[in-house]
Amino acid sequence: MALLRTGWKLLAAALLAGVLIGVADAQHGQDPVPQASTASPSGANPTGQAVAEEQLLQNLRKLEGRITIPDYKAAVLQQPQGRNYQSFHERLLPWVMGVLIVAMILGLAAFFLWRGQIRTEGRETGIKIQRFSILERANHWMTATCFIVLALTGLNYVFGKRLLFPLVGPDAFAAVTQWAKFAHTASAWPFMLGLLMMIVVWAGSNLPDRYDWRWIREFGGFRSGTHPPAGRFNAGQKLIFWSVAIFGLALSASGIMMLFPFWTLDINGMQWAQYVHASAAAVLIAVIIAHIYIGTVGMVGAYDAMGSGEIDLTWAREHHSIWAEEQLRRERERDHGTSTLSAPAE
Amino acid sequence: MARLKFLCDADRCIECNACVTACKNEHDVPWGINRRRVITLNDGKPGERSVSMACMHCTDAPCAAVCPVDCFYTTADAVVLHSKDLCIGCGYCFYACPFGAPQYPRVGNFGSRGKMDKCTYCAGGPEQDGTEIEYAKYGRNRLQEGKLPLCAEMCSTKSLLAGDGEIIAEIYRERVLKRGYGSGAWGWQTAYRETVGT
Amino acid sequence: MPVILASICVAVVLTFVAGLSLYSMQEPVYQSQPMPSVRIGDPGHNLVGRDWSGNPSRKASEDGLDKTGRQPG
Repeated sequence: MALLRTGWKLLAAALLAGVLIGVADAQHGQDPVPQASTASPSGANPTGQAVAEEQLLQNLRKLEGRITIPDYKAAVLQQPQGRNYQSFHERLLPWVMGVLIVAMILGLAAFFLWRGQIRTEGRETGIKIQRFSILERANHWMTATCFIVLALTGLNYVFGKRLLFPLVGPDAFAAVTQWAKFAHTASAWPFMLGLLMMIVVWAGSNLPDRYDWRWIREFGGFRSGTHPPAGRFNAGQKLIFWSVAIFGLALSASGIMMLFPFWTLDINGMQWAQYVHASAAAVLIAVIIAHIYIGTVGMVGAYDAMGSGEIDLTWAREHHSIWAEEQLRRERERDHGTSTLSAPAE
Repeated sequence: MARLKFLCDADRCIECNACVTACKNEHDVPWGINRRRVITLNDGKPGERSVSMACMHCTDAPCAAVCPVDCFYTTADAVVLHSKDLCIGCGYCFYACPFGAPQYPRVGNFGSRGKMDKCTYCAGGPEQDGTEIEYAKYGRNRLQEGKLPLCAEMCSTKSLLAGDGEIIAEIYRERVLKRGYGSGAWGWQTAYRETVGT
Repeated sequence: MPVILASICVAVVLTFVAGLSLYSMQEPVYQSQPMPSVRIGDPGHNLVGRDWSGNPSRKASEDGLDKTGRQPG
């Protein structure tokens, strides 16, 4: 016990000595951080308390301070993420977008060469039933037109200086890109309007139903050789719809952020808006190319659905059997003026 | 050939904004466009540092890389300049710039944000050197007269240095050695991928 | 077919309406970032240099300015 008490006394003495020495040391320099120098006349080290740039960048990733001008984003001294943006925009994005689009086109071409046009197997009856109303069609074509404009002008941002610029020279290319920019930012608005209308009108019919899983497993009939039953929209169309809805909304949101720069986002947020917008665009353009293929060249009779709004009964029975029967039943009820439902109890 | 750079000695900068005023006056920079600005870190606290920041004229300039119309070019002195005739005002260069150098005359991005403007190292633009049209578009071209940027010339404490990278790095190194401290050449790692050994 | 053409027309019209109305709503920086203690005049379309109209093909001499871009005299 006595040894322990001595030990504590020694420790206390050592601590006291250390504190006194430390206090004495501190009287020479104002700051505890090193980088002291004998050349400094006052012995003061004003940099001692300042953090070095590297340290700040490691901790904060972005350096900001105070400024005397009202442009608040000028307070950012340094954001090294700009180099990441450069790398994404100049290396990753053109490759991903290019590969996705070219692969889709080549894949569809290969599919067409192998399988040819998907024809209606039964004989055409000549009886037409309505597939899409005039409003649905008008909205689809308005949105589609805007999408084509947006896709082409958007691709010009990424590939223009690589593909078009060498052909037409700097002045012509800059003029074209200037107008392309106007077209892109302006036609975004009718696109967003049409997209919202599409979602409102068609979301209900595109919810998963009991026929979807079989349709997917049979790959729309390629694996089984027969047409699986489908409602108004088959599983493939539902995938297209939800791709357009989700990626379209992502494009809309990120696009609006870029139309009003720094309204709610800071510099890193704006960079992320670009990343989201470009990535969603790459995927959606590839998906729409497939959609355009199947709706025009890929399948006989598919175009009529959106073109004239009416499709042949045989085509309907083959590709959307459940929906076709329902439509026929409704027409029969209308014609006969009777309802198959039981009369009210009263 | 010289490789021109900026170096702001944050330990000397007193936030007097003489560099800002000189630049604005010499190039008739309109209200709202801030080619150069002074940013203060840790304002009011111990370790307060002010840094004068404009375009750093980076090596492998990110602004030039991401421009969709390729309106940037680098001169033989490594000054990064651009053409306002080709600029479409898309704003990409601002997202890529680590230092926030590009400035735009309009706020929203409908159509265009206007022609991008930024520090030119007092080297004008693609128009012919010393012409009135070059002055009207890009400001004074001092480099073709053999002069250095006015912001560095006007700096009241000689904290902002401009000139050949080797020379100003050596000046800064000597300073740090003589006085015994230096918080480093701010921005050099990001802009030029090198540091000034202190 | 007529529906498709009409839809394209609607798309174009809405594009123009959106573009023009938003462009007119756009603010120049000197207006959106004013300082309360400073009263400045409208610099016009000045982007850089005294009285630059924003038209890159115009010469400063057309605006009646001298070689340095200032008013002569």
